[in-house]
Amino acid sequence: MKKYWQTILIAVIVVGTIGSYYFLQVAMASNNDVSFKIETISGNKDEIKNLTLQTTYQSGVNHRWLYISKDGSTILNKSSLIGSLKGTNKPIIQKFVDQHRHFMRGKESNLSQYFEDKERLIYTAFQNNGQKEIGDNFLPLQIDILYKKTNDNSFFEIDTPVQSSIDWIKINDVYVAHGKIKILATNYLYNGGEELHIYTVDENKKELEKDAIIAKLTSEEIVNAIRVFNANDTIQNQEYYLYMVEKFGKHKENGEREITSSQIYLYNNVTNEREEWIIPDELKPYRKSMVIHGTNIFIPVYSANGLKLSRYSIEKKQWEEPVMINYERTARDNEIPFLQITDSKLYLVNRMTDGYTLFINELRTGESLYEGKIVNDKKENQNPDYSLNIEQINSNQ
Amino acid sequence: MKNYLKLVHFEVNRFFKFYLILIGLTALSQLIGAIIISQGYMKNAKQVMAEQQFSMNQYIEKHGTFSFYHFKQSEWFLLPIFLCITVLIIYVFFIWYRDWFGKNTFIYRLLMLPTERITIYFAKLTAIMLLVLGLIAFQIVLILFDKQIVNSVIPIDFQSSFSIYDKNSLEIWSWLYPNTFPDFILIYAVGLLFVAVVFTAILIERSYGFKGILGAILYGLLSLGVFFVPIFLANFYPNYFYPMEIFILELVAFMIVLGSAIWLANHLLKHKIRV
Repeated sequence: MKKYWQTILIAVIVVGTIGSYYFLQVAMASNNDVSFKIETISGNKDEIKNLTLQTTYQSGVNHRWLYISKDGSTILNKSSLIGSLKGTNKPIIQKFVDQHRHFMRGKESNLSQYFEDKERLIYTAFQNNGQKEIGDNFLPLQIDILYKKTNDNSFFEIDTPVQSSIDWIKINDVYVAHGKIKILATNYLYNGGEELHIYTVDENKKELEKDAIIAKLTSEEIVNAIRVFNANDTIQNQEYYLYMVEKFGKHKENGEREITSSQIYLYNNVTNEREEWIIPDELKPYRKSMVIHGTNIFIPVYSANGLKLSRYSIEKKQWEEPVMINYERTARDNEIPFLQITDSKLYLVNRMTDGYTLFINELRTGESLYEGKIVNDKKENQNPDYSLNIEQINSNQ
Repeated sequence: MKNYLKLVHFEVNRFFKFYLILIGLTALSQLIGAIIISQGYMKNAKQVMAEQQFSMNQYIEKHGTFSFYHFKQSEWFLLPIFLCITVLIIYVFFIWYRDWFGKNTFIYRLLMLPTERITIYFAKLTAIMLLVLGLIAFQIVLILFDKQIVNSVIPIDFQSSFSIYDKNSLEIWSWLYPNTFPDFILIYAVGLLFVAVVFTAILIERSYGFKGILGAILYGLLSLGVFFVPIFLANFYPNYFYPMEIFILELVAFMIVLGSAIWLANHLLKHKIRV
């Protein structure tokens, strides 16, 4: 043995040091790990039974992806090679992959490109990610339909005419009804202009029926913008599209640009009609936070006392009783609470001095369904100056 | 097995003195570097505070605290690491060629040993990995000493917090010491594969002389090509393969390249090698 001391020494140092390095790393990581839980203040606990808050945690240089649910929090280890192999962190896309593994091959994980009902899953994409080759007059639109019952799929490609000025096309939503597939897409032009198109495809004839431009900005000023307010993670039909065309002028004294025109439009997918929607003057400053859900438009206005959610019924063409949520002032003055409207419920997360408050309210009546507090579970390890950024609330998995 | 262990020890022993020099140089450079860099910071801090009548807090506000990052970016820390990497890369070739070109064409005796010739190949491979991992382990110990020196020179108020376990602290650290143990195994397994391919390429050259040089280059390129096939596929057909599938394909490619390197080396050592 004595003869081999050099080799034994190196082997012992290697195993001992590297082993304890990783052992200590795991131990320290678990000691310092961030951990959050939801404490119920009032309401029905069933409301958070299937709820997952997708968040990012930030404290100094410590940045982590965290999923918080009724059972506590889990850390998504994206920094590990093996951890990054676990696939997408979009639950709906992951569900599609689990259920239709073959069909989902080669498809983008952008939910705005999908439509799903009981019978079918439809995926739409412009070839080459919507990037047009210079000089081409056509950009193929690919449509892949999966028939869930038989598990067969039908794939076809249509040449969509594109002008030479178009640089690339982004799909915002897919609407499917009566044998027609309608794709709401923003066309970005080389000169900085934008167009909002609705491409209508006849599903049976497999051809492009119509290419309608519902908004256009030809100016070379790239600051002009067409803004679509519909949620882009919806895979079911949205009856109305709500969008704003805004043009800007010179810089004002405070550095912001002067708005020369701002028009808001509602497009009806059933009648294919578009009309201008006039926003009341007192709500104009809050127009960028508008949310369209079904046949209602919501405009959140935050104040020291809480949230006032103004509600407009598109079908009744009238403003309805606003939804009010009262809470203490947000811990940081400029911070706006996180708001999401899903499944006819309103989810609001507000930062307090000692954690975050989660509100779940019925959207139609405004009634409070649940109120809870997201608190740090391991306070002793934590820098009090942390922040949680809520990315998304997933309500059914 | 006994022969294999004896041969491993033999190979380690042959390099050991040189290895100690490498370790010594690294330690010397990093320990001196830690003193020089931290004393330099303190000297500058005292000078600025005296000249501009700053309090400690004012100085920190204006110039920031000392982070271990300062030391890590310095050539005192990085140069010895790159020196060790370079020397070991050269030794991957030298470990074979010294047997042919050294005194008394030692390979003759090695190949006559009453054991399977592939054992020599495995012993040399193990020795290289042991030497690499030995330096990796030594650096972990050394950085704790570096940290002690910095702590003793720079008062705590002037320091930023630093942990060697913090992945954001050192960039080169995340390459040498991946975040998790499975990642560590993966990275060093790839390293082992490349050494095995170089070894087999050397044996091709030794077996076929001048023609062998071309053969070795072609073999090396082919091995690289096979190893990277899954990555090419993933880039060529974006989103087609799921991440776990790419990983499994890569694992298969790894097995193919390693298996064929060992098989080819065995074949050459048994039937083709010219002494």
